[in-house]
Amino acid sequence: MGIRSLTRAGFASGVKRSNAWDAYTVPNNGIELIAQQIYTSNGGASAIVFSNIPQTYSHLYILSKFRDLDSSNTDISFTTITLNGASANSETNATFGIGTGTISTNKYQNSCYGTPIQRGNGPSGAYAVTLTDIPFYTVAGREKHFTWHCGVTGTASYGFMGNAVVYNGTTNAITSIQIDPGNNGWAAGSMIQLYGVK
Amino acid sequence: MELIRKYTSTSNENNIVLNNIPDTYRHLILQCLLKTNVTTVSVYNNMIINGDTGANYGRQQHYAYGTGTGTSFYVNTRPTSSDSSINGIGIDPDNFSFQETVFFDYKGSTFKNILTKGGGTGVTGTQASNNSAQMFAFANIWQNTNAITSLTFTAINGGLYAAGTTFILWGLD
Repeated sequence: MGIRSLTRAGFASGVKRSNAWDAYTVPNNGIELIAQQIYTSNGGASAIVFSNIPQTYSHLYILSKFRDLDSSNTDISFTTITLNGASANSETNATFGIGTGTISTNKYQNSCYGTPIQRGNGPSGAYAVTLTDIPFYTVAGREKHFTWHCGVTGTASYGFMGNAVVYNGTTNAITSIQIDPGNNGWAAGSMIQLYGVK
Repeated sequence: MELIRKYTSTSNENNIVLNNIPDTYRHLILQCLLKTNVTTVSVYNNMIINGDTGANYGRQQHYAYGTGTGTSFYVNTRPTSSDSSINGIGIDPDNFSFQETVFFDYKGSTFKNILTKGGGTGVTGTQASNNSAQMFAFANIWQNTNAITSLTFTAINGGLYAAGTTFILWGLD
């Protein structure tokens, strides 16, 4: 998702404008909500499943805000994403920055990691918020990639930011996405929205 | 996704406010095109929510600037929990910098979690040899349970927003 058509091509000939961006007509409804899961109270550790995903968009866009009910740990964990029921033949490549250190690079073979979760003993009110972009999801006959960008903060000594490219070996058009939180339940206030981008 | 507001500067100015933000969406998405009027200092796009200038903002920050590796290339993380504003990306006098920010669950009753990415590139001026060509990513938290109803943007460190600087605010269900 981004600003589109920021060019001078759309200018009316001979019309003086105070600056270039005046010519940009902002389109509405470029992103449509397909499905969502919102936890208004604590939930169990069940997976979130989006099925029968329509094939009418250019790519999929996911906003997630996750925290779990782990009462012992303060950092983040990862969800596992399954596309079309398959998570095998996957790989996650990521950069992470935790606290005050330098940024590290990470490779997880045979793992399809997505949308981190802030663990339940972390800073009050802190949720891991993530943007996930799944391009070319309707294309059959080739493997799938998606990216995510995540961050969470809450105290002077703790914060996490990560960026990842994830490979998944499924070659069919994506019709279902499953997000598995692991062993801990979803904390109230957690949510995820699946959008289609025109 | 629906457009809430679009504002474009027509001259050098500062302290731009987007107020009366409706409470009819789930999330807010802010897109900024930013340029400053000065070449002698590094200018940044700061933001406060609902006029709150208290030490109520937390930040995890990644940024990189310069070219190649070595002393001119810098990347790090920097957690902070007591900012009095949300620090934004560096603004360049030559090219527009870009910033995109998502305010998750902006009208919810918990603290507000915010995610930003963006950057810019410069070609001349002191900034070009300093840190105008930057990549930024921020995670922020506003430690307040009120709904977000206004955003105030301030170019800090001695510069103003130059003409053409644009703020676009979207509502996302």
